[in-house]
Amino acid sequence: MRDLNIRFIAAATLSCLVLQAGLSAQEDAPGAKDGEKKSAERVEDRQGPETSGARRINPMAKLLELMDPDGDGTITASELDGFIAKLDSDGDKRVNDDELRVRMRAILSALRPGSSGGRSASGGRSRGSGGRQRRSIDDPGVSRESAEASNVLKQATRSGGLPGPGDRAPDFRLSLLEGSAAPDYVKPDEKGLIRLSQHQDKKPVVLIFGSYT
Amino acid sequence: MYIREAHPIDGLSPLPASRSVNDPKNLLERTEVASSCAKKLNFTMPMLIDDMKDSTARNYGGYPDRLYLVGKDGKVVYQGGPGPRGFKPDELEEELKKVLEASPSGKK
Repeated sequence: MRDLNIRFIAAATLSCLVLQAGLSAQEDAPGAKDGEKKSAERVEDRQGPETSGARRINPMAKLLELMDPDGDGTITASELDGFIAKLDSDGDKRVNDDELRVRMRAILSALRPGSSGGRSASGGRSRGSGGRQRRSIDDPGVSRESAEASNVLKQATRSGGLPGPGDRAPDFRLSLLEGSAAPDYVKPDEKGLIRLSQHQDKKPVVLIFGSYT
Repeated sequence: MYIREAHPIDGLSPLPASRSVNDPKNLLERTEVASSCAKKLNFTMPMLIDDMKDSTARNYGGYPDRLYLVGKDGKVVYQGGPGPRGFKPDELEEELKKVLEASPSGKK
């Protein structure tokens, strides 16, 4: 546990430094010397509509705030353990790169001012850092149809009724992308569609779900 | 399996417009995006396109991304975790090796 903590602190600190370097380039110097709570307040102060862009936020302050839930300005070993448990989404008692990145992304997007501000239908602003904004379904740049459909799918992904090992894989009947490799083991049916149920008996099938973005 | 876009420009958590696309609203649009995706990423595997009801993504919990291995008997051998965190090709590879070792004739 001890070496884990140390490694984690090193990783967290490093990533904060990187993030700060990237995002808070215009952060004024005195902020660094303030206590963490004070910095966090300063961050809150900046959430007003007049602040612009991601440059004037302090992810470090937010991270420290998360690590110090009782807010006494110090981080105890048990607070740190709790923090690790919070980040450790795969339950292996370790915080890996991905888990840290997910959390930092969440912190950054929460800190970004104006994520619900009116945007034109052309939508997504370029944000430099590669981080993503979260928008409300009522945002003018959001297609309600798409948002609702993606929410349905997110829920499906979280639901309990998915086919696990030993369950019958639900059949599908879908079109094959024209021009995509169609080796001889891929056999379209009479309508030119591909059915999972017609691709059994001979070989196992790997299904890779994903989209462009 | 090309499914609904995870971060379209007009979605809830868009990528910048320069790196994203509008969410396809019909099968033709979806096919076009799938096609540019396959080209851009040099995919060599057969690519199927989910229907506009997202039936397959829904049945498998495949959104935003996920891996499955289905055995010759039509039953799920391996269900990857929900992506992107649970998207672990190494795990799939290991399971696939086991399956192929158990029945060498089923080589892909």
